[in-house]
Amino acid sequence: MASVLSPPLPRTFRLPVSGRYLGGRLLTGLVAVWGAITLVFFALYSTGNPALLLVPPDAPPDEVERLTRVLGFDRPIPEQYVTFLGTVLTGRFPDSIRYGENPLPIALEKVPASLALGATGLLIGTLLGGLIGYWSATARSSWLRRGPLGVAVAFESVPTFFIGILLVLVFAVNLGWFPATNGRGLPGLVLPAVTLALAFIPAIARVFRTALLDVLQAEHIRTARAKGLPHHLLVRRHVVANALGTTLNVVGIQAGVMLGGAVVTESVFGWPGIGQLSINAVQNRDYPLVIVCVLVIAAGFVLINLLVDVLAALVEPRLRS
Amino acid sequence: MTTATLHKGRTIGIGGWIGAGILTVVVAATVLAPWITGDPLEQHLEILLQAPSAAHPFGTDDLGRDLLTRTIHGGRTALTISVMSAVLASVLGLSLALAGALFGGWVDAISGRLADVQLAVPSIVLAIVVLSFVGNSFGPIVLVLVLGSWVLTFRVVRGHARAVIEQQYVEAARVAGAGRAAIAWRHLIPSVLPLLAVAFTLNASYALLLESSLGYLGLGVQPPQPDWGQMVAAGQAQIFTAPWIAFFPGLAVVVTSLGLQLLGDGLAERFTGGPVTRRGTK
Repeated sequence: MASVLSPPLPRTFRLPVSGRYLGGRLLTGLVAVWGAITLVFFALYSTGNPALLLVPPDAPPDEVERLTRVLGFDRPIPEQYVTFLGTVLTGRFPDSIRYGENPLPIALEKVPASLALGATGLLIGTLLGGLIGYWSATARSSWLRRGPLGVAVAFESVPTFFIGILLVLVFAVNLGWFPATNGRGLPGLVLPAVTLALAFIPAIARVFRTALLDVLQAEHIRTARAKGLPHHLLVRRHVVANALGTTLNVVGIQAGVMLGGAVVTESVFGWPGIGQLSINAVQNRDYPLVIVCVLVIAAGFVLINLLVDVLAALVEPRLRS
Repeated sequence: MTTATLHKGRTIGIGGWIGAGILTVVVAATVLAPWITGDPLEQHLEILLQAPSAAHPFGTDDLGRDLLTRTIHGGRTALTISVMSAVLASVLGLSLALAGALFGGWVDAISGRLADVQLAVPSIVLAIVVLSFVGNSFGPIVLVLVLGSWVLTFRVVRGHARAVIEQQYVEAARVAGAGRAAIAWRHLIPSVLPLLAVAFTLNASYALLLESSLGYLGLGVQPPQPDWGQMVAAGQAQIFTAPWIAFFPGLAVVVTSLGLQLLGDGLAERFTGGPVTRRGTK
């Protein structure tokens, strides 16, 4: 009966990821953001009177008192907590000490620059890391199997800020090809993006390699080989596609480490993104801005994880549970 | 499978020995720093920004301070913080993993959930929150590093401890009347010790990288106390005129971290027959 009234949509029209899966992930993300807000609240509270932190150092005592009352720092802790949640939800944060206005627009303004850097770095990192992982799992020459992976793994011992410094030393100081810091436009993007990519590459190469090796041992691969499928076609059609889901999943788990790399990269190159803004805010003791930056970064982290989960579910149907 | 007989004749390999050698040199230099070098804060205004030479192998900075001396002393800060964090992180990870394996049920569930929480809070966010509000002295920095790295040990030990607890000899010990503490002491801990050594080197390497990054970002220990990450940040301002100021402290981080990772890989090879703790190289 029902099928007569509403004929089933053609297969291509179906959402590849179920709404339930998406909802579950979104809920987990919201819990994580709530956790970040709570963490900030308790860190603020552990300093004694948070109002003292939220006003300029030279503020008169009555200003401190006013803020204490307005933000409810003289109320019991549970009530303060609710007030703080309300502040976050309405976006009406106390003014930034440095900029003298609501810090939320200031922080949001920096997001596009961070996204541009992150996307470029991730693109380069994924392509190179994937290629290295692919070689190390499938190449016939033992040099190609071990060399690039060995170099990539050695980079795990180099902190991201020093990768940036080394690139600056070679390509800005010695060769003069790119600006060292505060670069704008495409030339200014190259060194930060490569730094960020080098921070991703070892993890991506490793994980992709393991995933490829796992798939290569599967029975359907043996069958495909037995029927005489050429090696390159076999790998392209059957192996890589099956390895993508696992890789994306592990990359999602590593997203926190990569986020740290992004903040450091922005600081090394003076890239005008949210990472540099937050570090500057910490150094200037601009606590309202620090709070907002932390919340924006946490929300971004959750969204990135959500995106990775959806992508993983898209390429790997077994993950859609 | 992981009995001693299978390991006979296995060594930590060339890489492991190189790693151990590097670490011996680095640790010896930093421990003996007050006796083998001068004062890291001593200024010589007549030798500002000198390039590396025989008298000053790493050169001098903008205050005429000898960079070799400062780099060696910087290692005292970086290594003290990293090693202490790694020890605490190992103890925390080991305790939670053993508790989970011994008690099972909700203890296991909660410790597993704590590890998930650690993944959901990026270290950098934790660092910014704790170090800006609580202050960037020794204690909070160690706290951030421990919270950021205990899961490394936890994961490695947990899997192994769960497997061991299922073994018949543990069952036999339980039947013979051994309590949880006795099983942990007699059977679990000796069994996970080699893995713990591997996890410790990984933990220390991660803590060192994070510590130097915090130092670079200005969230670590404050000047004038020399610290590798902070020295790189200070040197960056003079990168066009005196690149050695930023280069050598950074190189010290890389060499030490490489030493830890080589030793870790060697130990893993020796004790478990392969770098089980590192994804992708099996």
